[in-house]
Amino acid sequence: MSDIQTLGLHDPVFGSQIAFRSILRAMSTPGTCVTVPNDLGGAPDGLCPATSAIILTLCDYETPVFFAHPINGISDWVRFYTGAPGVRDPLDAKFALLDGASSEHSFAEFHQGDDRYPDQSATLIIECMSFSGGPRIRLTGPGIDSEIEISPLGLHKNFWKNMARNNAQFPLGVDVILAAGFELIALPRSVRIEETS
Amino acid sequence: MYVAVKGGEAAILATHDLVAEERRGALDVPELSVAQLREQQKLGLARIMNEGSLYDEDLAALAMKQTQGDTIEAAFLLRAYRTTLPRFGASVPLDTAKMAIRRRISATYKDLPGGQILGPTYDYTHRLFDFHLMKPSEQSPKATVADEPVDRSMPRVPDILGDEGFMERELPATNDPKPYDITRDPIEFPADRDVRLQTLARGDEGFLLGLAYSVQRGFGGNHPFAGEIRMGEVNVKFVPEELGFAIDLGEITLTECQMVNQFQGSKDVPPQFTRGYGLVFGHAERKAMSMAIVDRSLKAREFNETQEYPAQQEEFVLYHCDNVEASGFVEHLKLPHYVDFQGELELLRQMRAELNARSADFVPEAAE
Repeated sequence: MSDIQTLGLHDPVFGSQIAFRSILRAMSTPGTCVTVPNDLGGAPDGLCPATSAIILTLCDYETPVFFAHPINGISDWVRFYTGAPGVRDPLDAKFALLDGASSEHSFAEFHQGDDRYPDQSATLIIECMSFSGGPRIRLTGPGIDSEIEISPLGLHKNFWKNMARNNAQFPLGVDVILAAGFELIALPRSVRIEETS
Repeated sequence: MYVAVKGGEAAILATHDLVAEERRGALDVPELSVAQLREQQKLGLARIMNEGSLYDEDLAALAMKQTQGDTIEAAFLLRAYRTTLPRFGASVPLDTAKMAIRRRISATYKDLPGGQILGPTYDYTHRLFDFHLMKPSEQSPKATVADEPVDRSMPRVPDILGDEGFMERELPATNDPKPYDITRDPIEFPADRDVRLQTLARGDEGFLLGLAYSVQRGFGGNHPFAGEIRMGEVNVKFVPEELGFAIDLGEITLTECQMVNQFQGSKDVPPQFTRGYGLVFGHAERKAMSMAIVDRSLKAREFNETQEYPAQQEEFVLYHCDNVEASGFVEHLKLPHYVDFQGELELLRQMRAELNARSADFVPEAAE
């Protein structure tokens, strides 16, 4: 991995504020495609810039991270910039990075929250190829003005079925952030999902 | 009908300017420097650091300057700042046995290993004004240096008692779990000792002092002895993962108090002394002592003592000793409660009208 010191946020304070606002907007208006600025910072090989911004902003030494696929040097990168430890057991993770095309890990393997503290569940960052060209999905629910349609490309065929099953557990269940390039779409567990094509 | 007044934002901005003016005071008087406060107001800084829950003398001095000496406002500044600091780990537990002692006394043993080191204390001052301090001193004060340094290590008094088997044993729980962090997770009841000690450490000195006093006066069953009070510098150590061994991050001043309390015995446990523990930043004996007395008092639950009095009731103590929270709720009354109050006023008018109507019905025949 190239010089690890260039792979963080250029400005840790303002950069993380900008990234946080982007994630907040995405979570508040699920389905909206939010773009992170392209000058926020570097991303290590194997991670798209949006994913990098999310991890650099939200992770710290108390948020264990699970990487579904080994990416060279990724644990060191997370450790160096955020202090976040990597974990082997998905259940221990507060954040997880998954490849949307792979069905290797089910949402159920991650912490679902509990009745007293549903917010303690994991947040999954799922990378896909792009946000257009895929099957059309209709989203409704809190934060969505009647309905919104998205069509991410590069997610495995059972992805939306699994999401719907996860969201049926509301208020428990995981939250998902889709990431592609500089863009992100948040799918909190409050969203209702319908496959339309 | 009461009507809200407009122009709020401008008025609010003006308050900042007024505060700045008030803070500066008379312009022909030199402005306070943070360095002066840091060097010459250390006991005030200690209180701000404890109640602000952050050890940083420069920041505490800045907070003192910025708040014109309002300790609770200053503690608030430190607490707010603390939340912005990224954490990278936890230190190794502080070893107060290795403290570089500047003061160490015991009220339980007259002659003890290491001796009674009086140090810089106000205990023997006569509480008379020293009017020389009205002007800058002409000579720098200098205490005489002793022939011998104090002992490098001084055993703790409760450990002396413990060697005889007379002191309540306090052992870490099985597997020595990580202590609860009250800044991360909310307090729940019943609260374990780690939660209680953390909360007391940042508790208001005045509130805890009052509670400790109440315990001594009989509102709680403990009769404490000051087993030991020590003050001095302790190294803060950290083990970076990459190195695998501990490095020194720096040193902090701490005051530690161990109170020794009356016999406690039950069918399972022989009579023994029980402990109250206080540990605070900086030189702050009154706070450390009060904390230790209240710590012992809150062990009432674990010792099956009746929890009759406020100092023995953990919900009462732990919820109300945080002065930033307390002042938040008390001072929030200054926020507009106009709608609530309109409701009250209407209710009162209605109740009064009903009362008048009823008493009109009962007017006796005096009308003739």
